[in-house]
Amino acid sequence: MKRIYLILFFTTLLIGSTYTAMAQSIYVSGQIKDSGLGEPLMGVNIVEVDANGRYLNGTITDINGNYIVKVSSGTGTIQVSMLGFEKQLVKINKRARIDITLEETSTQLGDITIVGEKMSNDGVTTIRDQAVAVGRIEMKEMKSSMTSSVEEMLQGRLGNVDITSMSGDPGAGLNIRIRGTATLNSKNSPLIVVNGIPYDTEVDESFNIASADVEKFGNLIDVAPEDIESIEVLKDAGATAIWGSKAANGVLMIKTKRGTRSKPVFEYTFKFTQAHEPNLLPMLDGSDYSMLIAEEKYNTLMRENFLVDKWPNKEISYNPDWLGNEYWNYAQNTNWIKEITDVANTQQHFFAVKGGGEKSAYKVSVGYLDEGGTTVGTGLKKINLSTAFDYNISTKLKFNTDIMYTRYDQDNNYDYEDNYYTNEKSLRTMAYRKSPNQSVYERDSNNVVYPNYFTPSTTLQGSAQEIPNPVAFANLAGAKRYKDNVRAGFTLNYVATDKIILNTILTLDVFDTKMEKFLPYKAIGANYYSESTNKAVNEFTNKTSLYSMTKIIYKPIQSALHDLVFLGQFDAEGTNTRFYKKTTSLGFSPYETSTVGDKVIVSQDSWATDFRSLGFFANATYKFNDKYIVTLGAKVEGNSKYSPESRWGVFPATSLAWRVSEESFLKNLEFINDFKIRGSWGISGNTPGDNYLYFNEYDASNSYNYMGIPGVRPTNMELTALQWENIEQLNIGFSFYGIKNRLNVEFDVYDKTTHDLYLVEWDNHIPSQTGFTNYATNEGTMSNRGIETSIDYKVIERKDFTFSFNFNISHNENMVIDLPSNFQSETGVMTENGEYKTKIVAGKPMGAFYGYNYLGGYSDLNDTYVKDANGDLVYEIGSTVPMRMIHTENDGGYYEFKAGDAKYEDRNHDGKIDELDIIYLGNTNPIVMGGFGPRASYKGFTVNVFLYYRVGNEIINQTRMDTEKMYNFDNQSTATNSRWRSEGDETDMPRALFGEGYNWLGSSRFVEDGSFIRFKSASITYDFPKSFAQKINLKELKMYITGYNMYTWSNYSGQDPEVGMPSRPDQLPKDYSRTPPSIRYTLGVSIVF
Amino acid sequence: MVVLKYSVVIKPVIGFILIVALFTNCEDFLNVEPENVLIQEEFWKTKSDVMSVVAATYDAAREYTEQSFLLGEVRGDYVSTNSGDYSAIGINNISTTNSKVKWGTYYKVINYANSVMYYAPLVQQDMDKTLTVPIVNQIKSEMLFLRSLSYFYLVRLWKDVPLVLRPTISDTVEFYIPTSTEDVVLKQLVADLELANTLASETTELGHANKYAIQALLADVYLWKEDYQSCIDYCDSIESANYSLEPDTTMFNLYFPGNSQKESLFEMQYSYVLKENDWGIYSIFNGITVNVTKMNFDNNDRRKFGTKTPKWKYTGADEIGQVARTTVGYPDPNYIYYRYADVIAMKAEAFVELSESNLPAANDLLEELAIRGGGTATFVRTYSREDFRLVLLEERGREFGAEGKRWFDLLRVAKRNSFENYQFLADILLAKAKNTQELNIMKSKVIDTMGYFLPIHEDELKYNKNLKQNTAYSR
Repeated sequence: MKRIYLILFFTTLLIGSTYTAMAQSIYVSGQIKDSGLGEPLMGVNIVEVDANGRYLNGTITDINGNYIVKVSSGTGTIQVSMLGFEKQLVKINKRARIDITLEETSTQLGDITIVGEKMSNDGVTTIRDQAVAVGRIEMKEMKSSMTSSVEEMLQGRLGNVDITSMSGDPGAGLNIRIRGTATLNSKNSPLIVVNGIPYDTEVDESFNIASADVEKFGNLIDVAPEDIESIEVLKDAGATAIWGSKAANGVLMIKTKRGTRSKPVFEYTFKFTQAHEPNLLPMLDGSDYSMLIAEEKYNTLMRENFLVDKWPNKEISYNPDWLGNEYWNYAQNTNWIKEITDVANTQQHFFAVKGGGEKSAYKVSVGYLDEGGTTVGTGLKKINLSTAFDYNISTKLKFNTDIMYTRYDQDNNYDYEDNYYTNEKSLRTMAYRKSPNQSVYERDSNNVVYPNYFTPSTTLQGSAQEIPNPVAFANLAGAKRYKDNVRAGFTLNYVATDKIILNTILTLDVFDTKMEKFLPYKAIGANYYSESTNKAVNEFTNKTSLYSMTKIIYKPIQSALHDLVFLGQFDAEGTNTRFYKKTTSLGFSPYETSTVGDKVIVSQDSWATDFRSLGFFANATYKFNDKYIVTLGAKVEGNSKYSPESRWGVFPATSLAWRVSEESFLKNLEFINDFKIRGSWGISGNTPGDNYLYFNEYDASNSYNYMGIPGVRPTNMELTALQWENIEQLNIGFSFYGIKNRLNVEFDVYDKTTHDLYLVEWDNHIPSQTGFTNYATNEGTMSNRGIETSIDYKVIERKDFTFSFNFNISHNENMVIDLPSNFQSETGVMTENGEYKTKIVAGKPMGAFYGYNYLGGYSDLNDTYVKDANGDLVYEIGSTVPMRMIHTENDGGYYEFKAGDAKYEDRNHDGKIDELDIIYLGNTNPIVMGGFGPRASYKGFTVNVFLYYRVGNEIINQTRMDTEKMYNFDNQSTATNSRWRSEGDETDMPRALFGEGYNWLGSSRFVEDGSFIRFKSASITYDFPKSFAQKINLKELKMYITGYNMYTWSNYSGQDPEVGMPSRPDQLPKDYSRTPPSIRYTLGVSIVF
Repeated sequence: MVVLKYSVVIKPVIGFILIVALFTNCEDFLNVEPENVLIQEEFWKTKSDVMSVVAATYDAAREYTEQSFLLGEVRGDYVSTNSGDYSAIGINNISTTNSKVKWGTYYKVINYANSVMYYAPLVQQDMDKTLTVPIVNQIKSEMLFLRSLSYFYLVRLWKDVPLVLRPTISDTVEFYIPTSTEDVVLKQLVADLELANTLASETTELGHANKYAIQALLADVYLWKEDYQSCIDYCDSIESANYSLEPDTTMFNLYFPGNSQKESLFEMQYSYVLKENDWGIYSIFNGITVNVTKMNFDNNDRRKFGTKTPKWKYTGADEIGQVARTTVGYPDPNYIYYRYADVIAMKAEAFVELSESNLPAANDLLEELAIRGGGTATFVRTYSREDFRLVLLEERGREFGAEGKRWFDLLRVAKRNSFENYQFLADILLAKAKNTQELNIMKSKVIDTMGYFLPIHEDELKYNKNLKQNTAYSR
């Protein structure tokens, strides 16, 4: 690696050293005048240039338009230029004095002129000639979008790019899938390429085992949305081939705005946003809650025991004589979820300067975001700085630098993250569960409120560590995440001849994250000397990537008929991640929030991990008569994650395009401007997230000692056969431009098959006579097939009035084709409440889940009798009493259903509700998804509306399960008021039963259709007339108002149907009442001066 | 021209980069070793590396102590338990999904032992000169002992099992090995243990197998193979090495503190002081019930442990339960695989099976055990081979109560001469039936002598297509 960089460095030096060639001094002088008035011009650039346009010597004219310049030879050329005037090249011809008159240009200053055909973001092919499946968004179309991240902006805009947010908290991460889930355990997220430079977005590979919490890593692309010029999504194998295995799950290519030749142009945008949450679930108040709990207890204990057990308990008995004057603390009606939900304000500033001259162009921008979260204790502050500098050393040689820096301060709620932590313990879930009769603040015997949170160390619901005062917890405990990301890229482009172009990119990407968490004793009401309090966690992750890529483009034939281009590429990458974490507790003071000091160290951990890859890519593109385009290429890739035997992979790709519109039979049809049929086929490799998987590892541990001798065990075998996952993809589609280029239709069908699925160790077994029980290997096949189409139609295009419409729809079908019999992945114990079954098996799609079929409740005793398939009662042999329905339990016992209990379908009529009765309940994968919306503008007004939809996926409404199970001391929703109370009640809501029974088995009861159509955004923009803007010395003035997520059409009963997709295929799509996407209104002003 | 100079310079340089960098450096560049974990490439370099895997092999053998001892008891007639899967096996209701019919723990030890035997000579030859040939020989003898002990349990519990003699170092080894017959495995055991016997030292560190532990195991294997003369030869060899019974007065030192200087041959060690405890096994043995009535103890027999029953061997109590480990808080009883009393009993058995003329000597041997245990009242000298066999079984039962041997004793008797005595074991199993329905089901089961062995766990069959289920369970 080092050697390669060194050589690249010397290459650069060599190029640089040639400038120093100088001859003897000759002077040229003269005067420059304006052609119109004939007046002398001050500040005109006079430069001696060589044949390649490279600057040799230069000066500028004085106040009288006079200049004198030293030139290297009397036979050279001088270039005379000034902004606003036509550039002139003048041969010196051994003259000593040269006077020149400059013509004014007609071009307006500050205008961007697009020359030539629009290039795709790969910088090589034109959009017109692309033979592969690429989705593209021009940011001009989205000018008035206000989002804090790019991904959110993309949601629903591109076919089969499925983006779901983990939660609505500011800075929460997103799950992106391009054309479905293609792997069981490897990386599924796409590659992100900014200005030709790839970024590994996953902070660390080892995390997917440790915590699998994508949320921690926040936004993936640290680019201010205003900086972006266009985004392309590469989907098929033909398009992604050049990026190799990084791109196995697709590529998001982002191009940012750059400086252009102009005087400095300043741009400033300000946005203000107010956000609030969709309706919260209605919860029981204090008195309803107390009644429910008493009933739960009564139903379980029965009357005599109920009284013996001293129920009702004092905490919910509303007895004003309670000793210790706690009465008022337990006699409130607190809506806890409402207490921790707030209206959030966000402000956003963006400032940019850009401009440039003859030789160079620059763009500098600063973005600042201060976003509030709708859940108390969450928020995000972000600063983006970005610099883009382009310098043309000559017409042949130019370089660009891109430096981006992002600082990211995120406030989150504290999460336990240890064995106490589960999703059920997130702050919002706790707020739903917390008893509503408790007070937020302490009250005395006279109901006087004190400014302290009411945090009893234990309540009916258990210790405060289990379920604290949510308001205290949200305000006092917290987790801060700081992220620093610096990306510096250096690009050198050399046009050696008109046939050969060389391009080298060198990139350094440094990604630092730091997390500071603190749990003061006050937040959970424990004593300050309790082990679980004043707990501080400090965590550092440092990731450094070096990436280099060298490209050679050779164009031997460039004629009207034949066009042949060869591309060769070599790339190398090294990525190193270091991690350090320390947890302490028992800090002396709640203000000492760091892990320093002589505290009790709970745990310390650190590790480092490294991987490297090399790639060679070569391809050839041949275009004949502008009609037929063929591309053929292959990438050879090596990766340190595999053993020397298996580390090299060869990944071919080819694509074909036929421009039908150039054929004679279509050429005369006026309404067709361009019609192209494309096809591509290719294989890409995919790597597992973890490093060092193939090594034969040894584990030393105290627990392996024998008689005091330290023990070391071999923990696995060497996996020489561990290799690349091969994702084969066939894509067929067409691109259509018609009706004066106003209509664009893109259509694609694909068949993507993953071969040699990487099967992770814990699910894949081997015969235990090997001494091991599990090992990782590549075996199995999975398929994703789909179809996607997008339509973009500019219906009306007049000077003052335009109306356009866009629509996209896509469908993906996932299927596991083949898995070895040694592979077993199944979760869910169906004898226990609250569990659903998931399994990955051949012949079924991933993400399917199973459970019982819920039939309401048993209205009375007769209803609980077993009936056979004909509906007749079943008796035990020799008995006249009909058998009752039972549920078999884990330890071999059983529970007999009683009147008022939940009723599940006994599908095999054996009188037992057990695993044999479970049915398919649903699937995480949507059937179709996409977006659509019109856009209209009249004079200065623009109206932009966008709707986003996702149809056909099922969600397990965990929050509803938690708030309707009536099983413990948790608060429940008002829906439980319709519960079964006495014999004969006909209701869907079973009876309350404390710690007993099977009223909340994983069943169809909590599975809901997650389909929705959402008013993602609607905005009105007003562009003030130029004349008005100029009056206040501005070039442009724009104001807009946008509403987000204003309305959602859905049958989903939870707060919001956009529930974060599970990050692993064997996890369930559960709605854990995380912060939902908020309803937001934004007011923005944008000026250019 | 300068331009030409560029291309003249750059083209070769780029070419050079591509050629040199790509073809000489690739493999080096892609070899990245982990910083945080120990890998094979950095292991197996020194004597201490070898010794640490030896320790881990013994430690891994601890993991099957519970399975070995309970499966050696619960199918028999003296010990019962209500602990889930063991209790199902105890009442002969054995399903192929019973977690206790998994054999992975034995093969783990076998794999570690194979690894040590593979790498130790390499370290000795090329790496560490302090690892001398005699040390390697001793290590090899110990590893052969542990591997053979594991296989001996495997064949006694499952009969035909896969025979793996090479370490699983990489995925290039054959995973899907079919079973070998009991005869093949026993032949291997004899060969291995004979070799181990020649390599072994007479003295080793505490807890490690020495020459006589190996000979005791070998005698047991020969007894199982019905090669009685060889069994006697090795019993004599142990006797000549000054092993003897712990006197009656100090008999309880066998169990607490354990490691009797006189009698102990091989014990799986646990140590509270070294923090090598095992609460799990300790509590499981606490949960067993020993049927002392059936064992026909004389009230003076100290092996009855008063009212506490022989399971108190593991809590370390004397006959009136005075020194319980629980009161001291030591969850570290050793598990005795072989002690000299076993050698005496094996020799007595082999004597009689070899020739009826050895009956007097065999009676003497057995009486020695009865006298030491204080159970002379229940011991009777017998004068026919048939009678002696019954007395021997009973005396063994009292001597080794709850020491994980009963089931194997019964099975060994029943299987002798191609299951000549299967009815004897069948009766014991049938006696476990609680009602006529169960009895009828069991009757159909006990006819098949393959049913005296365990089924192969369902998972193993699923993961290895080359395995065939025990015929008694495949119907």
